[in-house]
Amino acid sequence: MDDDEVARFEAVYRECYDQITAYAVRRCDSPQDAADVVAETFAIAWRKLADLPRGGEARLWLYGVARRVLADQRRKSVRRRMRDVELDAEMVDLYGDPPEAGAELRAVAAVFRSMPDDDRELLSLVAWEGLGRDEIATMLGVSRNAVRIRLHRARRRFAAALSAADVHLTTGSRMIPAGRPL
Amino acid sequence: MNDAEEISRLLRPLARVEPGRKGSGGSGAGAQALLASITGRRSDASAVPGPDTVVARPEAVAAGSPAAPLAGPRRRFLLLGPRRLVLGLTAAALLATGVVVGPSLVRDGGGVAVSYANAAVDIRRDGDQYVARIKDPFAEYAMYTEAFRAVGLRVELRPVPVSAGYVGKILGMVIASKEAPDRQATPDPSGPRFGGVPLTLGTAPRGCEPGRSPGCVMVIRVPAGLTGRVDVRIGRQARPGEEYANFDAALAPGGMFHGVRLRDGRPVREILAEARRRELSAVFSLIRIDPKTGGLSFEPLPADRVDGGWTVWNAWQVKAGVVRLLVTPGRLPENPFYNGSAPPPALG
Repeated sequence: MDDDEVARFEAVYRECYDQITAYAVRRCDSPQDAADVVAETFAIAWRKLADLPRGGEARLWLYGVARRVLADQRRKSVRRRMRDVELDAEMVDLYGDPPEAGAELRAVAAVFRSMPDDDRELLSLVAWEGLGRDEIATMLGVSRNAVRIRLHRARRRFAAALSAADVHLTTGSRMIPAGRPL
Repeated sequence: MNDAEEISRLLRPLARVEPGRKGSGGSGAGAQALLASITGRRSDASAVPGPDTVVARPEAVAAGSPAAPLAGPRRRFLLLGPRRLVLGLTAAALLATGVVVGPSLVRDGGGVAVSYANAAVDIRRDGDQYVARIKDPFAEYAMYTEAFRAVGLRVELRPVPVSAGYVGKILGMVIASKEAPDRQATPDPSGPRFGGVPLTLGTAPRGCEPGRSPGCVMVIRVPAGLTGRVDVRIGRQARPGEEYANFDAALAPGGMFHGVRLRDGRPVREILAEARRRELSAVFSLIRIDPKTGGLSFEPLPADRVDGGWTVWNAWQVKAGVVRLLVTPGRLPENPFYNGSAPPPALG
């Protein structure tokens, strides 16, 4: 591995570390799992450095790798740990006590958790990672049109699930869980 | 319900890390250590004098889930960081599926000792932990088992045969426990915690190599209430003809095929010539790829069924003087050992 390539990897690492970490932390129940996902994602990126795109696409490519690592981790009943305990400790900081979630937020969270994985992933890529359709298409390696259709369906299903759970929304303002005095 | 923006607005507060939050940019000690362990270089922030201790340690594990990327010998990796002997641990925690029934902490007068010593190991109670000092890492395996059992723990220290450069190195620590390690506690710098009590593995003096450096003692601290099994594997010199446990270190520094590049696959005839130059004999295994899961399995193959034009994708060191070449009849689009998310082997 020549010095230029190492430098390129280090630059990508610094640039994308926060985003990949946030991606992992948002989707893993424990800091240890998140640390595993981050460590594996960058280890794979290092091994496949030749495939790592230059410029802004590097981040999307890394999201794609992280997504597969995460799926793999969830599939396994016996976990493989690539543990770096200092990294664990830093992840723990991101898992601070959640603020007291109101009934509203808890209701939305429950509905969101009940959604199919693919829907949840698409909706959160938009809401949490702030990705646009083009970026999601690049990350997932599918057409922009496919993303548009899947996203549309995911939103429709989520809206339906919310209303099935009697969580109703007033556009642009707070939602009103059923049974709660206004 | 409105549309896209409304849904995003609803979901944003659910993100554990707030969207758009500015982070450390990878400047934390853990992030730096990870970077250093991946590239094999130390960055300024984690620079410490001392030998190169950044090593990925593969270890074969017998059982695993069918969906894992490698269906043959499986690998676990430990990352040994630059700061201490054991920065990382492989914790194979079988997640809790029911009520944990096990020995209580100390059965007063119930026959469980609080300290135990024999020629190989010395175990004492220290608060919530048992501290085991391994005086002789290559003693009869039964001596450790006996000592740990006497204090009610299931810790197994297994010397496994390895190639010369790996003697005295810890190949892996596997924790099989119904209790998952603590998830929310701040991790101890040297190991996972169970019920708030850390399980650590280190040496005294710090950084020495058990069985190699004179006076080097391996120290294992185990939560006194741990009901699971801890399995520590340490490399010992293989006897003549004995197969290596570090079989997939062939291409790593010190391995018998170090310096051979197989990342993009190489023709069998070239690699055979290389083996001859190194005075190694070669055996073969055919790589099979499960079409559904992408998992790999390996089938031993007599040399006369392998053509010189086949492709070698990886090599294992079987035992002294013998290398196993992992082959396919045709070329594959990419090296299957790089496929999937398993940490890939050092393919040179």
